[in-house]
Amino acid sequence: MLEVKSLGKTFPLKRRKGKNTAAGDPREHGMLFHALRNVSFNLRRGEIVGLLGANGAGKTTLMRILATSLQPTSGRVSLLGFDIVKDAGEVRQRVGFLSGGTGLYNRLSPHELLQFYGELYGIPRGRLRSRIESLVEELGMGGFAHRPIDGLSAGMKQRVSIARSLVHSPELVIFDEPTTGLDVPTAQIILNHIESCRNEGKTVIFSTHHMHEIEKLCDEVVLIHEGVSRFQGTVAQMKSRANCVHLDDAYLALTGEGNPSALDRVESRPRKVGAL
Amino acid sequence: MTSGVLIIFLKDLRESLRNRRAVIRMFLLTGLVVPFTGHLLLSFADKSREDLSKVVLDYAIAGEQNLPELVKGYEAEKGLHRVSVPDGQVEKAVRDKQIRFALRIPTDAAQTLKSGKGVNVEFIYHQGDPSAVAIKDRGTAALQAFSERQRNWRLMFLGVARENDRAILLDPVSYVVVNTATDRERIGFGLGGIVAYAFLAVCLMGCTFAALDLVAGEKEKGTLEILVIAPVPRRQIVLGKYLVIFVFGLVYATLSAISLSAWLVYETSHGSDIVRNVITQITPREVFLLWTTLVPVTALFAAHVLAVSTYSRSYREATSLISVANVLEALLVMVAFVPGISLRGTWSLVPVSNLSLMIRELIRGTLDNYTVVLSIFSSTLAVGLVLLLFSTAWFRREAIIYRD
Repeated sequence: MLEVKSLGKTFPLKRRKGKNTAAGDPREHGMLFHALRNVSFNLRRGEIVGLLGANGAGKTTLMRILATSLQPTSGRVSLLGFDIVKDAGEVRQRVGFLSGGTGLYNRLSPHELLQFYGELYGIPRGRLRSRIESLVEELGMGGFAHRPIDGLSAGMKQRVSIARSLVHSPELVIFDEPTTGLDVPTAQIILNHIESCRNEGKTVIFSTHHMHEIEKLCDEVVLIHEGVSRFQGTVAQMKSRANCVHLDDAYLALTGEGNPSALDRVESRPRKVGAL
Repeated sequence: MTSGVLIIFLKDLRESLRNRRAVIRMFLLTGLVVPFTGHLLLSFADKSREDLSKVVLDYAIAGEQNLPELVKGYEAEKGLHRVSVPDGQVEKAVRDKQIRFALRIPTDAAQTLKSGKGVNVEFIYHQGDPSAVAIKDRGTAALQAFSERQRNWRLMFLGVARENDRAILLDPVSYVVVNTATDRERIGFGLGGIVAYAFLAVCLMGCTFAALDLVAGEKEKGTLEILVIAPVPRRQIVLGKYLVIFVFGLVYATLSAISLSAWLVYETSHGSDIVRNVITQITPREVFLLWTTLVPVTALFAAHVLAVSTYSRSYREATSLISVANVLEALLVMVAFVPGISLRGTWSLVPVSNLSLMIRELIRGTLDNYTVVLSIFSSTLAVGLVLLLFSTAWFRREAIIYRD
């Protein structure tokens, strides 16, 4: 369903004067920062895929490319046979994206927001009305669907964001850290919804730092480290590859992130334009 | 194409109108500030004029014993108060504003006059004083009256007794000033400049407030990232936002025009005769033409602030960049205050300046070349279109969308 082949993404570097950037970062080449290098993986329909990686590993860049807001520098991505660059319009109709920073229009109500995006995606009025009603019910938004978003809690806003990313019934759903900063009940609602996406035949890619979410939900894991895909397979395969019992130990073993010098390198990376 | 533009336009318009602070600001700026400031300025000008005639002017005379008759004349003058200042301190006292003016009478003044010669009396005042002209007029009145008396005595002594003969003798060639400019043309120059500046400034403000929120604000909130992945071409997103900014600018301009008209109507019953005369000469057709000038200028301003807001990485950066750009706009508008610059030639092609000059000419009632209107409108819209194309091109660049 989704085919990612030798994907690469480069950003111009914005160096800070007088500050030395980490020496030996394999992603720096002159004034260029290679956020992603030669990333390849394939996903099947109805799979839930967990995207793992440290902060700055390239997960968000990868998700933005899949959502068509960034263009790859090299390689090829196709969704259901549509090229992500050449057929961006077709791909956009089939992808739903929840970004890391919840981007919502605070002076609209959740209902108005869903109406707006539904219209942008060209959903006929009658179908849109029933789609909004079902999303409001599924995500438990009935109590605040007509209140201004500005006054909603973080959990409510995240539910609105998820509804927004699903309003056009996409076949591929991309969630960037959907449960970060949420309380347990709200996070549970969201995880349940991710699971229900699988039942509807949708493919879900979600990034998270919570290993229990990966173990609970994911059919497959893609591990990105320093812009390179280090692993793709099931949770069991990942543990087996690292020869570890726990997933977080396997993650540390495969990335070498447990090594303090590696951590220093991650935190002292230079700022780059256009990526997290 | 229309649907994406319309959907974004309606959403942005709805959201902007729900911004209570922005709506209150809009009505305050357009409905109250413009006429209130105008009224204050006129009242202040009237009051200053009144005050100046009532103020008692302190003065000093150095060498008063040299021409007692002249001193008597000054003492008889109303609104003047003589104070004692040592001869050598007179200039300093005037400069320090202890006194408003002083006279210095030469030692042998009385003798010189008696001998039929001329006397030079120094009139000392500070030309840097805002009321210098009025001080000079009031301060030399007694001196001129004294001089005239002396002249008449001398003419009588020479046998020229009749007043008419004296006038012919002193001014063999006299002139009468005939002014071909109407009050409207005369006052319209300043008034037209102020109206142009007020309209264009308010119009620019309206566009700026909307643009900051709709582009730089969306970038900062993260909503733009989501909007650009909707299956809508970027040019439609830009156009939708542009239309909201344009509408806001036009609403600001129209509300200002309404409140300014209301204030002018008020001035026709409360203002001075000249102001009333000028205002009543402005026809509804000219008012309509005045409003139509705001359409292309709003189109230009909307494109300009949209381009800057698109380029900026945050609301704060957009605010500072737009402030800098607005200074340039203000300079272009202020051309209307410069005497000697008219709509002929190159200035008719300079955006913003040409509209500012056109508004001035409309208020003066001297806009007679309507073909120039066409070139003004087309040059303004052309620049606006170029800026809009810039915004669209920038919107396609990921480095602009993700400038953080």
